[in-house]
Amino acid sequence: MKRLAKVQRRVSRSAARTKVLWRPTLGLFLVAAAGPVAAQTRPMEIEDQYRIKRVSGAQISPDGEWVAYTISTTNLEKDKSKSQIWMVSTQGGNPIPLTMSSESVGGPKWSPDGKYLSFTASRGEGARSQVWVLDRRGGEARQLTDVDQGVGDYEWSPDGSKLLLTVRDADTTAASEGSGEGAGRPRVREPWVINRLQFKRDGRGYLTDTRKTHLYVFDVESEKLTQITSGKWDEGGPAWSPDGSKVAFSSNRTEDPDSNSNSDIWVVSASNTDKGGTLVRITDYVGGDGSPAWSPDGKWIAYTTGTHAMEYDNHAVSHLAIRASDGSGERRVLTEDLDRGVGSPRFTSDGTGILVTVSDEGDRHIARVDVETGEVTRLIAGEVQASGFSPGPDGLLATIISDPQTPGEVYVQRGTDRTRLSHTNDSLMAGLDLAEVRNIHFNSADGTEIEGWVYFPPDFEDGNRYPTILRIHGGPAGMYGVGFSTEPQILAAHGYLVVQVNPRGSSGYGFDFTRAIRQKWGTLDLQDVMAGVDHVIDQGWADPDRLGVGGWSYGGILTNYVITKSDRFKAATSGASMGLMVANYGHDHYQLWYDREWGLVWENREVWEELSPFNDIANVTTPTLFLGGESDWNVPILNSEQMYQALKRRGIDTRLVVYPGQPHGLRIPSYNVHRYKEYLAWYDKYVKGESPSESR
Amino acid sequence: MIPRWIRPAEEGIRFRRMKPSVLALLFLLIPAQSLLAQGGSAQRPLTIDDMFEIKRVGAPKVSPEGEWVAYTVSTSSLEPGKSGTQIWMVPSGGGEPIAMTADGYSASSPDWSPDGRYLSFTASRGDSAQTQVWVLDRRMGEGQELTKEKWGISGYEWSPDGSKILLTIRDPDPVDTLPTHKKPKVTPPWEIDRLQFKRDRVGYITGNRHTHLYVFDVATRTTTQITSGDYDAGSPAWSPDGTRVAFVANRTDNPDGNSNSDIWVVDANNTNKGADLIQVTTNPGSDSSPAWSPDGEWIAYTVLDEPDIIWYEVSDLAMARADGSGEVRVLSEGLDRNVSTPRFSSDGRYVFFGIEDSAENHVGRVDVRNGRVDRPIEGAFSARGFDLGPNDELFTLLARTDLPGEVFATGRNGELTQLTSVNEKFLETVGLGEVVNSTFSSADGTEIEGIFYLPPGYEEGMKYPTLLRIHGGPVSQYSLSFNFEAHLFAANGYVVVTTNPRGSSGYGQAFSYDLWADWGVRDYQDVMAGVDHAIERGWADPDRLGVGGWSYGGILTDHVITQTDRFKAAITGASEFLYVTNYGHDHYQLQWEKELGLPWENREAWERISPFNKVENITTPTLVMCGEKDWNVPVNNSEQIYQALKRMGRETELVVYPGQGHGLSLPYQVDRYERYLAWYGKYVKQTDAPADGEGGNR
Repeated sequence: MKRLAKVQRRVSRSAARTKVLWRPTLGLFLVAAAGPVAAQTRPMEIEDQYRIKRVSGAQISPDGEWVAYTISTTNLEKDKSKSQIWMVSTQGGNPIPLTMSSESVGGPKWSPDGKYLSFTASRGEGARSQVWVLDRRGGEARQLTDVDQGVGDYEWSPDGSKLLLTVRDADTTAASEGSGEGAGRPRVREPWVINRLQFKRDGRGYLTDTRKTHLYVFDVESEKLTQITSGKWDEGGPAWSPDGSKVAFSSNRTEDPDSNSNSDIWVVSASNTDKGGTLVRITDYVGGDGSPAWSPDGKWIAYTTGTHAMEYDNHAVSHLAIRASDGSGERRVLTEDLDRGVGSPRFTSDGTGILVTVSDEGDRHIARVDVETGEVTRLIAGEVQASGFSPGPDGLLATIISDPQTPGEVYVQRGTDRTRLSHTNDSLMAGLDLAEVRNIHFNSADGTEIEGWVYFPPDFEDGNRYPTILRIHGGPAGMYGVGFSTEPQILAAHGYLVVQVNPRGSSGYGFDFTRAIRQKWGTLDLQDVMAGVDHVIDQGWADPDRLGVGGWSYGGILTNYVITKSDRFKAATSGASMGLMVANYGHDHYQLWYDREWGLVWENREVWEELSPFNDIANVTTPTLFLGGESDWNVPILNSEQMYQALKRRGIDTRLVVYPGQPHGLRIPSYNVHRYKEYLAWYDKYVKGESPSESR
Repeated sequence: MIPRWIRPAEEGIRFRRMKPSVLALLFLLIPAQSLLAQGGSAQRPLTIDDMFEIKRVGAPKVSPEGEWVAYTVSTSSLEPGKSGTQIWMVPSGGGEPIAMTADGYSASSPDWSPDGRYLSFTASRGDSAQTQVWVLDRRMGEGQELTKEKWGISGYEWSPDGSKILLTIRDPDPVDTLPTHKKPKVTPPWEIDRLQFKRDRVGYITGNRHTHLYVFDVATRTTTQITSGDYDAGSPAWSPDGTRVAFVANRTDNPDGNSNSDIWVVDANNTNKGADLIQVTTNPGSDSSPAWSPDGEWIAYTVLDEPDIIWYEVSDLAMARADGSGEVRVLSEGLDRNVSTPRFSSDGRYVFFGIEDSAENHVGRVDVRNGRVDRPIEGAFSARGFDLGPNDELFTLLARTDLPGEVFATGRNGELTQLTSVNEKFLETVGLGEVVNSTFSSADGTEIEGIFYLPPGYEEGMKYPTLLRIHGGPVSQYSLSFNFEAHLFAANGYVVVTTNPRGSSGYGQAFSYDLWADWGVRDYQDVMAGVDHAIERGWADPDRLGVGGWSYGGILTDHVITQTDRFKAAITGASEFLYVTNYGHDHYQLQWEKELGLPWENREAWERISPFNKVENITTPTLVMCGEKDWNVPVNNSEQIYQALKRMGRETELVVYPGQGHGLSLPYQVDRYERYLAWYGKYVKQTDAPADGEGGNR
């Protein structure tokens, strides 16, 4: 296991590791357009985040000739986003649009027999999501499925003759039907009648819907639909066995799923006619087992799992494990020594290795884990973030890669050669004056080595000190890294030096690093982020009299710890954050999480109070802006209301912005633009000391 | 710590005993209706649907010459377009009532033009979607729209000579003023920077909308704004000579940080939007409901001058010089009962006012020269909303436990005559049970009053399943008026115990203030004493008890179930559980601070009164209910009680009403009653069938 060096003294400035990652020079990317290289560039604007097209879901065709992928665009005027499927040859060349540009579609897949490119779409007035196919010989798409409730997700059978569909039960309540019953009576919404232990979820509200999600097999030829699982549980993550006779899936089949975070892998016959009356259970770990993947010979199932579920469920590292596909034998965890989160397992075609994504110290790699020895070989490595992967023939891999200067684009990897296939945002990016990004390493107060990245304002001049914003990521087991990120770019474009660090609690640095803040939020992590601020001051970049701080979710929570324990910052923006922890019990969706980490409120109250920034509100002197979604059940707005009310009462400069109807992540683009404007106005006023007319 | 300025109350609790007067003869404790019900032949029990049978009568308004009395009649219906309010009038000496407005729309706030020509009202109908003043010519004809204010009006007052009308108008929502193509497509984010930033039924308070006064000239149909500025003007009253207007406003620098309101006087003809105001009162608490003396020298009003004890204070009646010179006389010294709606007599010698007293509501009268108070309308009933005829004849809305409110007149000898019988048919059809008003002793000897509802057809010697229902407030009272909910439970075979425990209004300031920062202790004892009284009287079966309430009624229910397991079921509606979670989340930031201190400075007080801290004691099957958008007592409290009980494996259920605030709309009220009956039926009566048979009447 890679151990981080622990140095007792703070490393001196000259010895501190600072690595320059990316400078926005013109020669570093292929310029597709002819003509002189553009000389006019401008700083990034808030709206640019919506001019950037988002590339995702790369899927390589079975013959390895093409990569299909999705491009999402946003129309700010209409406040709507759309997605469209494209494909590009693995030999290079211009990408081809495959679906209409006016529709929004789900991610593309190739049928294994090479006949179709499929996708999900809701086309037509009031239509539900169905599977559509494009014939590879040409022509427009045709609808394949016609499931009343719509299709959630789907998987092609290995021989291409069937689809496995994930479908939610039909709504059998009268209220949902526009029936004529009770004509003349005013239509009011039914009261929510709640009987579950887990009765809320962000994005869904009260969970009174008892509908479950089950698996169905759809025969392409006959169009016959057969339900193959049933019962009072949900099934997900399904995978066909290589011979098409069985389906593995993940499901929590305990007596009260609300009271635990278990899920297990099960196998069912793909041709069963009793809706899954007979299942073979593959795993028995008390925590979550998911993402099953079959070996080519059908004898093994690889999947993601954890360790230390009961105590550290919240700070777990995701591991790769393997078990016999008949449930016999024991679990073998293959990546415990790797000590980095892995996901999306897929066997190689010869069955000797398992491909996985790996999150590692700000990077996201693709690696091969040897089945026999457990040895890990990085196939896509370095200072990049690779999102997902799609294996093709002969060891080909398609993926989406981004770096600090480049939003995600499609790449294909052959052996050690990596080729970029798409240039979706080249012309936009060429016109932008981007921030230089440097990787930093420094020691925290207790000597622990911490990693981070610094974004420099485009007009940065060595020797000058700049107003500086410390931004904090969510999670807490989140991870800043080398992927293209618009938030720090926009702040930097506005003249700020931006510091982003991965303090203790973050993922990407091993289990011990992540669980270090269990029951200790706002202690070691607080130390670490402050050390990051000290580092950029020591480097001569940051002005210690013009510091700001902020973040969303855990980023806001840690911001609240910062402002209750430090007065060094001139401004704070605290988004979707927690104030008084006990106010969240039963009000957010974390009842199980609290059971595991903080204990029951009436049994372990001291822990809840110890961790509450609200209790130290009398210490705050920093002008603080609070923001959040009105209907956020992940971190409810109640927290921000309480923090705001207290600061207002105490006479500290403060403001509260609430986004109507929004959950934990703002869904409406214009709200997000509004949020950035609020950030900039607040920082400009208090960090830079500018009056409002100058900044907006 | 009781502050020194609390007026010493009389020894013990004073109860209004029945005075041997003419009045008492007319109003017996046991209404005649229920005697019929005991035989119960043609009559049927009350059902939930009777909510839509009963019509609600509004406070009377006497015509200037005293011949007619106007009032509103409201009907409820679940069918769209069928709920509404109509204006009626009845001869002041008795006779046949006449419907003045048509059905099919709602007309409110009836009044008379001083010259006797018009009956006026407010409505939003016809081309204008906004509320305007309408008038009916008293000779004949349909209503005519008088005002055409762009953003509508919220209130109006005729000037004494009838040539003008004072309008109360709120600034429009800025979004509404935008042309359609400029209106935002999504709700703009709420940008909050006030100390008081939330209100139930409103949500977030943003922007700077205010309510101001305008004078509408009837002849020229022009409107002139007469107040303006960063405050809200309310409760306007014309001086008798029509040259001035008194109104109420909080014009302090930090209105969100205090509960002040003062009375101001402005020149009714000013053309500078009220740039010059005379301040009549300066008390840091609230001064409201101004009423002019006939000579225009004085203004009578209600006063609360101990704002630090918030709602526990009993209000006083006072009068102040209208010229702002500062002279104030307190008129209700020693009364120690809440007062309301002062009105001078026509000779200026008396001030009439409402008195809330020991489960009753009376109309009182004080002689301004010597402060002597008598009660022209007093008895075992609730008389609220009086008006004075040209010779100071009293008319009032009056209700009893067996009579939903009707309009009554008082004669020269003080005898009360019922003028309206809006619910006559309902009362003939439905048989109500007996209602007993009595007192009992609490555990520490304090005398407590209660109103007990017995099931129709009650049989001596039988013990009945019994519900303890608790009122909201906490500073309010169950009164001798028509309690639909109690009659509904009684009709379903329950004995219903309603009490006025410590904290309640109607028994003096010390009785209310007793609750200060100490909820769920002595008031808990008091309500339990009510239950014990019902058992001692032989009505209640001690093995079949239920408890419940809404708002403070739910809060005290939460305290009850953490301290006793005597109840087979509890229903807690819109209640509080862990107090500290409400600071900044409900709309009581100011009140909490006064009573409990700031939570980061005085946390102990917040924890002390929180039922959550004794959650492990709860074993009672508990139904938890609340409105989704209640900012008075927010739903997070209900979510927490439910989550904790569920986690502990107790019998529980949570019901949340979509989009509802502290009060529920009609369809949800029906749903709520159904659930009450089902829960109590299941656990108290221990029957499974909720709707028919033993479960009782829906």
